[in-house]
Amino acid sequence: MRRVLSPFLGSLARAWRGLFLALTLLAVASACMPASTPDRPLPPTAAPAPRPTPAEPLTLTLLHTNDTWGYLWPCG
Amino acid sequence: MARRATKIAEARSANPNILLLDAGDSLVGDQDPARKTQGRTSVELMNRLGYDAMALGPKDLALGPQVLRTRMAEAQFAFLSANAIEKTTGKPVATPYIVREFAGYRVAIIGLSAAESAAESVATIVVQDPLAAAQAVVAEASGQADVIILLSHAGPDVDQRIADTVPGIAAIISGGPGAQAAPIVSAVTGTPIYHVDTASPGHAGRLLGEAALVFSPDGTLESQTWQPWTLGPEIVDDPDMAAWVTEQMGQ
Repeated sequence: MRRVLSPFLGSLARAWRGLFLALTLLAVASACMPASTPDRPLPPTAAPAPRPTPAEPLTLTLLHTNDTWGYLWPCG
Repeated sequence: MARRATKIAEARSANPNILLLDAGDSLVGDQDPARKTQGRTSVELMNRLGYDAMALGPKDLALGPQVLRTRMAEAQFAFLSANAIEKTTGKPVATPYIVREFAGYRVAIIGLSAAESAAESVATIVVQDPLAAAQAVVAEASGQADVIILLSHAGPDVDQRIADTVPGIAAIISGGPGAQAAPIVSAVTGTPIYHVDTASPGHAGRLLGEAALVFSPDGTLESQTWQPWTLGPEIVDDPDMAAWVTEQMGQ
């Protein structure tokens, strides 16, 4: 009886070992794969480069008006 | 306006870094065609002159949010107010500030309206305290600009308090009553206040202020000069603007 069942039991044991190995590999692989919808913070992006300080002074002219009241004429 | 166009063109030819600004109450008044068109002709005029920005005064705000949105869509310049809020939405009626770049310097222009605007304006707009608004928006804009210009229709007393108590403003262009012959410089912060015009029939728009500001590379105001120009008959009319004004007055 034992001799009759022996090949079957051996195949079953090999199948279990294969299944266990496959599940282990799948678990390891899925842990290494990035999630399709990341729920963890993305790695920080590089900080923007600092703005270069202008080398020359700036002369800025401001022309300004107010209270024109929509006048077109006479108003200068 | 034909004289104003000539003077602006002269200034542009002499200065590469120039901002053309209006401190408010310039869209409508007591005359046509601006009154009849609810400020459309004023926006067209300011587009033709190449304005960069205007602050909203009480007469401008009295047009109401809907008309102002139409005028803003037509304008090739910015309508600015950091403290005029539409009641129904709680959102600013206009942009609080813009930033322009000149020779590597970022220049912020902030707009401010008068608190009393609410009384003259439509019921759908509330104008918040200009001093508090100035403190908040200057703090925000200082992170994005090297130089801050305040374009204010808050009134001369409020402008003086802002100049004295809000550091970081390079200059204040003031509107409303209170024209002055020379800059008022804050004894506390050194911020100059410029104010050219006061509205009265036959005089509105007859003055043009010109300030020359020199900034060091860290954005510090090193020196400033200011000149109020009276646009008298000695200034030659710009022919294109004269023709456009004649056309508009005839309609």
